[in-house]
Amino acid sequence: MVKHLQSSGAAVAGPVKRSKRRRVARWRIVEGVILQTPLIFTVLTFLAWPIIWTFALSFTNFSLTGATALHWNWVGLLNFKQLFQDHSFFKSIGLSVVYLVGSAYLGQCVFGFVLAVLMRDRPKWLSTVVGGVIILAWVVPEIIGAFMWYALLSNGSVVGQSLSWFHIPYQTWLITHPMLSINLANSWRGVAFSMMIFTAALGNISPELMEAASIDGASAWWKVMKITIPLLKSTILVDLVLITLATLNDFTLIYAMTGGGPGDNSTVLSVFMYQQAFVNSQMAYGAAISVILQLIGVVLSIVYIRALRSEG
Amino acid sequence: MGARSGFKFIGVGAMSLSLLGLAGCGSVSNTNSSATSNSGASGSTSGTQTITVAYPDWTPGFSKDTQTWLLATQKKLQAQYPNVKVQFEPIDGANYYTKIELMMRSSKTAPDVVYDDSFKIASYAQAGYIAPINSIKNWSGWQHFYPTMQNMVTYNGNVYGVMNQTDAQAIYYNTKIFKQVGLPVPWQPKNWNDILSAAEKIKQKDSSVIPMWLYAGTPQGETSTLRGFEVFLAGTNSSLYDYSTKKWVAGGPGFNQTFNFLQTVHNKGLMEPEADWSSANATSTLNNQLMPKQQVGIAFDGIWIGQNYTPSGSSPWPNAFSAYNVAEIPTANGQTPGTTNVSGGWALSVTSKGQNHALATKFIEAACSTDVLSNYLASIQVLPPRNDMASTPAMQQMFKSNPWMSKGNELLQNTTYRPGVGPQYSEISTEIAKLTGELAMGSMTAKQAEQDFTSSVTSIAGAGNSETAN
Repeated sequence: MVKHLQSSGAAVAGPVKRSKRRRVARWRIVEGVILQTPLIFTVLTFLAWPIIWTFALSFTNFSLTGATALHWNWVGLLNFKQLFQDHSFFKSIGLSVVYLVGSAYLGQCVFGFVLAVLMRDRPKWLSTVVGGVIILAWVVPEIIGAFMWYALLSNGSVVGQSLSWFHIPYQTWLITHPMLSINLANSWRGVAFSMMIFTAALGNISPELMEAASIDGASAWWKVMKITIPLLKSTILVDLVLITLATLNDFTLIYAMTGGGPGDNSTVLSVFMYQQAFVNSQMAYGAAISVILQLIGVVLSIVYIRALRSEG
Repeated sequence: MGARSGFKFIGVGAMSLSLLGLAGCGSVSNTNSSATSNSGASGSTSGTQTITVAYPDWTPGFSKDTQTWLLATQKKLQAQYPNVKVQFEPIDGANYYTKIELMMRSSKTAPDVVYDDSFKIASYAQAGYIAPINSIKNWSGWQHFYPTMQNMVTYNGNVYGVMNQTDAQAIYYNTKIFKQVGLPVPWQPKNWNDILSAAEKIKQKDSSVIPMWLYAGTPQGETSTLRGFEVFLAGTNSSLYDYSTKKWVAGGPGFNQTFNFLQTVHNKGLMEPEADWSSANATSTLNNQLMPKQQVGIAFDGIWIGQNYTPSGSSPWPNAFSAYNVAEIPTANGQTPGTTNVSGGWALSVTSKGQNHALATKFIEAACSTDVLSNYLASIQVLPPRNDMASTPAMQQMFKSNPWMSKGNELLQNTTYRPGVGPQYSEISTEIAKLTGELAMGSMTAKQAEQDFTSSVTSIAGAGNSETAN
C-alpha cells in the first residue's frame, strides 16, 4: 500500500487514488470558477454589457427626447445608411485620422521612441529631470491639461502676449490651426507612456550587440534602424495598439480646447458622436458612430499585428 | 486539507455572493444631487403630500432664488392644501437637459414638476415625458399670459406647461459713440439698411471701436442661431417651420435676405474680430469687457444682460444704463408690424410619470401667480410672461435698478418664438449656428450658405417633411 500524501495532485498508484485525484482535479476547477465569479460578473456588467447594449442600440431609432424616446423601434441599418450619406461623418473620419497620425503615431510613438533612445546613456541627473517633466505632463488630469493648453493658445493667451512683446502678431492657433493645437496637446500629454515603454525595452538590448556593430563601423542611424527597431518590434506593436485605442476614444481634451470648432474643423469622431447623442439627443445615431469607432480600432489593431508580428 | 479548504470555500462563497449583491443592486446611479436623497415618488408619511421640483442649479445664487420662490409657492398652496411640502431637486446645469430627460423616463426618478426650457416642450410632449394640463385654461391667471406665451406651451392643441419667465432680444447702442459720429440719440432703426448705415458710419468715423457685435459660429450654438440669425429672419416673411403644413422650411426669400444681410456685414467689415465671436467665452467678452470699456457701437444681445452691471452683478457698472440705450429690432424693410423679436423662456410642466398630476397643476398655478412670481423674477432679473405684472412693486423695483428691462413690454408686443416641435430643431439650429460662422469668416457666400441650409434641412427633416417657401 502506498501512503497517499496530504497535498493533492501527488502521483499515486491504484484505482482508488486515481478517482480521488480526479475528484480533487474537478474540485480545483470548480474552485477556480467560483473564485473568478466576481471578476466575470464585473467584466460582464461593466465592459461586455455596455458594448452589447450600444451595438444593439445602433439598430434602433432610440432618442432621449421626441417621439422615439419611450416608443422606439428596430430600424436595421438605417442609422448606418444615414451616416454614410452624411458629409460631416466623412469629414470627422478624416479629422480622426489626422489626429491619430499626428498625435499618436508621430507625437507619441515616434517621439517617445526618439526620447527613449536619446535618454540612453545620459548622465543620471539629466534623464531624471527630463523624464520627470515628461511624466508630470502625463499625470496631470486631462481636463486640467486641456485648460492649460487653452490658456496657452487662445485669444489673449500666454503665447499671444509673449509674442506681442516681440511685435510678432499672434493668430489664435485654436482658431486657425485647431488640429495642430490638439495634436500638440495630446502629444505633450501622452508621450511619457511611450517613452517609458521604450526605455524599458531598450534596456533589454545587450550592449555587446551595439559595441559589435560600432566596431564593424556602423553609424548611430544604422544601429537604430537595423538593430534597435527590429528587436523592439513587439514593443512597438503593444505601444501602437494601446495609444491608438486611447487616441481614437479621446474626447475631453478636444472638447475642452476647441469644442470641435471652429465650425466643425476639429470635430473628430468622438466629438461628432457626443454631439449627435447628447446635443441632438439622437442616442441611436450616436451609438452607430461608436460602433464604427470600435470597428476602426479593431481593424487597426489587426493591421498592426499582421505588420509587426510576422518578422521573427 | 479538510478544514482548511472548507474555510476557504466558505470565505470564497461569502465574498462572491456579497460582490454579486453589490454589483447587482448598487448601480442605480444617483442622477440628482438632492440633499434629501429620496428621489421622485412623493411620499405620504402622515398625510404629507410632497411635490418634487427639478430645476437647474446654474449658480448658487440662482439656486437660492429658485428655492425661495418654491418655498413661497408652498406657503401659498398650503392655504388650500395644508399638508403640501415642496422638495427640491437641483440638477447640475451643464447637463440639465440630458439628466432630466433620463429622469422623466421612470416613475422611480421622475419629479412631479419640472422646470423646462420652453423650446423643449414640444419634444417632451411627443416623447410622453410631460402631461397635458388643459384644466389650467380654467385658471383665472391663464388669460393674463401674452398670447405668444400661451402658444409656446401648447402642442397639438393641448397645454403642456406654464411659462414662468420670458426674454426678448435687444439692440444696444452706445450713446457716446453715436453722438461723436453724428448719429441720432435716441435711435430707432426702421429697417436693416438703417442698421447697416449706422454701423458703416461708426466704422468710418471711429476705427478704434467695433461697429457692430453679432453672435456667430458653433461655439456659441443656440445663442448664435437666436441672436445672430433668427432675430433677422423673424423680420422677413419666411419662418423656420410652417405650422399649417407641419413642415420645416428649407429656404425662401426671407432666408435669402437674411443670408445676404450677414454676408454684407462681413464684406463691409462691420463685425467684431473672429477671435472674439468664435470663443466659448464670447458672451463674457462682450458683456464684461467690451461694453464696460465702451468699445462696441451696436450690439445684439438679450434684454437681461443688465444683470451684469447691477451692484451684485459680475461687473458692477452704475453708468451702464446711460452709456447704452435699447432699441427695438426692426423688420427687414420696415414692413408691418415694424418691429419684431424672438423670445424664449422657461416653463413649469407636470411630468407624466410623476405622482399627483392634479396637485402638481395646482402647484404650478400658485408658482405662476402674480405676487409669488414677481418677487422671483425681480430676483433673477427676467421679463414677466404676464401682462398684469409690470405694476407690482417688485417689478417696478427691477425696472428702476435695470432701466433696460422696462423696454421689455414693448419688445414683447410683436415677439415670436422658436419652433421646438421636434428634435429636428436642435439639429437645424446647430446647422444655422455653423452657417453664421462661415458667413462671418467669409468662407461661404450667401448663396452657398443658402444651398447648404436647404440640403441640410431636407436631410434632417426628411424630404417629405420640408418645403421651400415662396
